[in-house]
Amino acid sequence: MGIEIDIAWLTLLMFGSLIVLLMAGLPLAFVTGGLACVFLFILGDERTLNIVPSRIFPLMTNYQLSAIPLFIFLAAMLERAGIINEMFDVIYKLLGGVKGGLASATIIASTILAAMVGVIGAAVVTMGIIALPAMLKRHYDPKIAMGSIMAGGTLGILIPPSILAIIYAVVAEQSVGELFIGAVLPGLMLSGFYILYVTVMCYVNPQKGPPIPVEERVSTAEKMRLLGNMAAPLTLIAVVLGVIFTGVATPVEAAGIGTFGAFIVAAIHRKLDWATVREACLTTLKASAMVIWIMFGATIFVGLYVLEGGQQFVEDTMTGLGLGPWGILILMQVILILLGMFLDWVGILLLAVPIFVPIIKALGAQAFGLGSDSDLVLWFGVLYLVNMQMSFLSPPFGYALFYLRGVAPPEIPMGDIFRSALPFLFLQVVGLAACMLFPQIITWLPRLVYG
Amino acid sequence: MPSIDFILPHWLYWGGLIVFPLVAMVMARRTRTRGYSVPIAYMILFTGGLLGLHRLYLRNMWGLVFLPIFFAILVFNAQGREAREVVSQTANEVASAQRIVDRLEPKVTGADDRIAKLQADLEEAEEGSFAQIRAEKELEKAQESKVTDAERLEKAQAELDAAGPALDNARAARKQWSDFAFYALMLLCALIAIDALLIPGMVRKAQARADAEPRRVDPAAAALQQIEQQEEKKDHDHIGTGWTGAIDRLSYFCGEFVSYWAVIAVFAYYFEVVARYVFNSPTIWVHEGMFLMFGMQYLIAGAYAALTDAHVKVDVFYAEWSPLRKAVVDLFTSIFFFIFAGTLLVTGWIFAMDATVVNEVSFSEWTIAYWPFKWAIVVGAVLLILQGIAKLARDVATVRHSMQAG
Repeated sequence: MGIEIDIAWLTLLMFGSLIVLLMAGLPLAFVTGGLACVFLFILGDERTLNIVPSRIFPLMTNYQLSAIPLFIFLAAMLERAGIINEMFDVIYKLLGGVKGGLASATIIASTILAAMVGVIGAAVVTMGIIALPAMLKRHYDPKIAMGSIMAGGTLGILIPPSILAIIYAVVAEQSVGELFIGAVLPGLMLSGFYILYVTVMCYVNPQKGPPIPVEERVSTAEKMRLLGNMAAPLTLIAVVLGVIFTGVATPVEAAGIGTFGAFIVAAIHRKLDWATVREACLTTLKASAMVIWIMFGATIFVGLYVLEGGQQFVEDTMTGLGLGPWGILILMQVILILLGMFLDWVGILLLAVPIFVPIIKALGAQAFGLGSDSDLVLWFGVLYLVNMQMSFLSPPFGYALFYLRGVAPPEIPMGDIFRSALPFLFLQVVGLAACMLFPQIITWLPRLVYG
Repeated sequence: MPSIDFILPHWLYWGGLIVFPLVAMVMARRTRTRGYSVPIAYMILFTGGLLGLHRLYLRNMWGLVFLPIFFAILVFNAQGREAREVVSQTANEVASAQRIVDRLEPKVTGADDRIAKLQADLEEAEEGSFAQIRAEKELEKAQESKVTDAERLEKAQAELDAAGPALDNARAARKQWSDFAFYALMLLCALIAIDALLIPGMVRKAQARADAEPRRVDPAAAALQQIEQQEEKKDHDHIGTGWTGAIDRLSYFCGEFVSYWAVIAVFAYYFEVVARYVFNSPTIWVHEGMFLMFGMQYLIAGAYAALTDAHVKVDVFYAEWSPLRKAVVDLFTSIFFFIFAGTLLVTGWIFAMDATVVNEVSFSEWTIAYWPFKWAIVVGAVLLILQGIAKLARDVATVRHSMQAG
């Protein structure tokens, strides 16, 4: 129809109708896609609509994106091979004598799991089934128990290989490998924070996390045997991350050989058959379709908004508030946290990153005391990942909370689950602030590896 | 070292994409295998035999013997690649030195004749004339260039003499590394061939050992397995009855069909990496074939995800509503769903038609036809619209029932 609309009104219209339709329960992929088509027609004419397939096809032929289904497949196969519960079993037996050992074991197991999977659902659900009953049986404080499960589970989004990092890399046109490496130290740092917190709490008040009774502890020889059981999956992690970081293979190829390895691990655990493969394939299909269809809808929606000058509008508004570079950065993080409370992570990425990254780039690396533009984008990317990790924990709609609700004993009220997430959420804020104030936490390792 | 020149023919690519999922569907519906199995052992021997994975599968630690040999191949190949670079570098040096020699040799040998001729010219020239001055200058120049040419020739000759043996050495080194890698590969192949005969016995032994082990039932593992099985059953429960059920079954079938492609990708990427590092022959078809395949998968999976409610939505208010209210709101929001899916169908049709008319192929060496991938947009849109119609019909039925009841 070719109607001209002022960008301020357009912003209000586009995002207003987005919120209304989302609240009405239409899936995000169709909300963004449908609205994009409507606004394309309003602002242009029926020929403008031909943008739709020409925006979708590049995503279909995107090489990096095929890492997403492959990494999800890798996780689905390992999950069905029974690796996850075995790992918890091994680690908590190793840590049995320590106060709060089970909670620490949960976090360590989640951290290792995070290095195998790129999503968080599996880790929280499995740990909720295995670790939560184990801890409650030994009279752990339920808040410590649930908090460590949820916080540990969210590490999957940060520690490579992370699906979110792949999507960020594709949207911001960054190297996937660099982003993976950049996220390693912040991930380990946060995991360290969690362990420190539960250990300190349990030493201050041993009632919260008693060590397992002496008669249940295992001998050193038994511990070695248990470690041997974990050899195959640990080798798999080392191979996948190793080939990515040394540049021997691309992340996509690494995902492929990793999944091949997962087939072998499943075979070693005598869990490999066609029915298992089928279940893993269907899980993968659902998860990757969900992610990619949001990309389809949201790229058209945001692409149109940026084309109409939306990004300039956001930039002008932000600088118009009289904020410096740091002010803008903090404002962006706050917006992301707020979005994270309500919206899905892929959606946030696709709606916010194409608008935010150019603004951050325009502010320049010097404004934040960084060496180069590529450092800047990398830094912002990992900050974004840490931020999104928070969104999984933040009430009222953090995914981790609901995953745990689904598997926790029914007598635990939802309020307790919310409250148990709060201390970890605070640690998360501390971690985010640390990454902002000391960008070296993020940039040091990639620079070391890539020079 | 033998190289793999295999390029996947187009018919095999398309055939594989169609046949493999069908086979997998049939196999997945047969009974589950428990314990060690001979076919799986052979499958692992065939794909991962170079790494000794088949023995690790059967918990036979002799499999670790394969690893050092395999890594030796990788190291030999890396050395071989370095040697190849040295070879091409020295070959370049030899060629450029040879070119200089070829160019200068006739000049240097002809220089004396030229000088003699110029001297004669000079003597003939009239005293004090321009011709004399010119002849003097030319003579001087010829004498100078004779010296410099001779020097350069000598230098080039020396380089050539030096580079020749260096080239031979580099070639020998390259051949040596390549031979080492080949012998190591042959050794592995021999071990694999022996194991191919031993596998049935090894499987029996492993099974006997596993049977002897005390069976311990882990309640957590059992709970986990139950949840996994429920998940799959839940997906299947989304399939309704009547004509909307037929649409559901179509979405389910198409989704399951394309989901098996992920397995193809796993083995293709594994093949690519092995071909590159073991046989030094990166392929031209794996990457392209696989990301295009996934591209089709994303589109066709849309309807499956819609059927199984996997598309994320914001449940802030929606989850609290009554079924009637949900149905009414769904009827309203479905307008936007159909706008999107309909636009995708119509514009996708134009997009795919354009590619079909010109018979578009990829820019790569593999030149796979592009239009089928573009038609996947249309197929995905059709499936999605059908799935939307099924949902619409169910919402209308919900509304009608509650109107009748109220």
